[in-house]
Amino acid sequence: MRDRNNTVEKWWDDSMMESSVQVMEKIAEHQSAQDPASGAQKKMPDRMTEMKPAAEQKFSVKSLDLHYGSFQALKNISLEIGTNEIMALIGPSGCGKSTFLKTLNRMNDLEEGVTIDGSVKLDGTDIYHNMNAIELRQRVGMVFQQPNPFPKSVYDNVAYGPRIRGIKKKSTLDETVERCLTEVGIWAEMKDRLYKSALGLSGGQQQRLCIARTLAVEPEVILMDEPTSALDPISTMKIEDLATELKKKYTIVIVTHNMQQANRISDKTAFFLLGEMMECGTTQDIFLNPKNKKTEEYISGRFG
Amino acid sequence: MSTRQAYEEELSSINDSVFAMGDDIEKAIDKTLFAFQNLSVSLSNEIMRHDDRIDSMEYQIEERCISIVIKQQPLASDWRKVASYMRMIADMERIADHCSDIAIYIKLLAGMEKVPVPVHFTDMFRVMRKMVTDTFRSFTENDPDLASSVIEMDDQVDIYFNQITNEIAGMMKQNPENIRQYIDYLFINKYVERMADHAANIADWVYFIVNGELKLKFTDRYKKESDTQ
Repeated sequence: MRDRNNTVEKWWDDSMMESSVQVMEKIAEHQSAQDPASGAQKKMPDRMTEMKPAAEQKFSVKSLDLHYGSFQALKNISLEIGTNEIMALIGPSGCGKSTFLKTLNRMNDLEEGVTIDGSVKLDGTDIYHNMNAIELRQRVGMVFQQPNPFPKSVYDNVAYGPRIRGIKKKSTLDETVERCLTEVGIWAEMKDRLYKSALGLSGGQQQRLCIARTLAVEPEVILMDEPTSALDPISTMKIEDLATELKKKYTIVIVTHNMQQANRISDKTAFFLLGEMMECGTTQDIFLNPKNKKTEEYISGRFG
Repeated sequence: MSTRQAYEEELSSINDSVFAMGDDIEKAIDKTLFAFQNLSVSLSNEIMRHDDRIDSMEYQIEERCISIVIKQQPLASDWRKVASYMRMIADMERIADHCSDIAIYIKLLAGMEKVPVPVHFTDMFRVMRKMVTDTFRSFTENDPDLASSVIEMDDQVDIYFNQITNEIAGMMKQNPENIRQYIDYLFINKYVERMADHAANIADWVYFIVNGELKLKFTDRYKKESDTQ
């Protein structure tokens, strides 16, 4: 008689028991009326099989190989990234995770000596064969390790993308700037210094400005390459909160060396090693019960 | 020594302390059975005194687990171990408490007229004792199958518990002038049954350490109970 459920042992008297039993029966009746299947014992959802159907996959990568000249940087990567999900890519330096991230918005296919095989699909469309890079990069934005605001005003940084896309109307640009700075949580701090240089901001503010700049062109996916490694813990926490908030509207892929960060904010985690993807699963499975021995060793700090 | 080495050594040292606590628990259980069979007051006192030692072992292991979590943020199997140790030592401490609880009743029984012990009482005690041994063995040997078998053994203890309860009820009717002794038996009966539950809980955590899932997380145990009229 194990009381893991904390069920009170039967010390109470029968009248009390009866009334609560009646209540429980009513609840059970109510439930079975709503759901005819609930008569049978409900199966708990299995975390591993809880993958989204194909239609909800934002990115679908199949058998991706990438060579820098004769060096193979990515080996046969297949990976699905679900819509409104945060996917964390972890692994030691040089494992290919940043290279992989860059292939998602074609940041490296024009580099000399790079050859890419396999397919990368965004909402089912092959981004290497059936999509131009301009459309792709509007839909898939990127944020880098070092905050890299343009040497312009805060306002111009955010308005840069929309202006390139031909939006000239002041009121529309104003709205966009306010919306994006609000989304990244720095509107209140910025609204009185919109026309001052972005370079005068703190590191954390600059990084959030860069995210706002990415949001201004209304992307669907945001790629983040170690977005907090140059920031202090408080700014880091703000960026993490922001990522968690942004995933309601966007899909986020984040490369991080900070294991706790991956653990805190991501839904899925993929572990890369020497150009191969060793394991991908729900973040909880990866950090609590990894299947691959190499994953286990890496995340418990036994190598790397 | 590198930080990482120190971490691994601390982990394995905590592991050893949990083993050591397990040893102490087994000894306490053996003493309890011996004290019960011989209605030994001095041994009962010893069991109760020894409980302090087990409490302080629990406290120390808990402290060290908390400290390793704060300093090293263990993940994967390391974290499964640390989290499980913290739960296991709580169950182990409860087993030791029940030994002391039984010791109190042994002392009471020693001061009264001796009445026959329920027939299956020693059998139930032995099954519970085996559960505890096997649980700790499954822990030292990382054997999830043995842990599963412990969890199944708990059913046997429950059957004994009901049989013995009925037996005591019959004895009470036949021999109402000794009802106080039978009430004591009844309590002891319940404590032994609870000790078996704690052993099964520990087995659950052993299974979790090895396989990363809880075997009986959603036990239907009480559902079965509530379905019987």
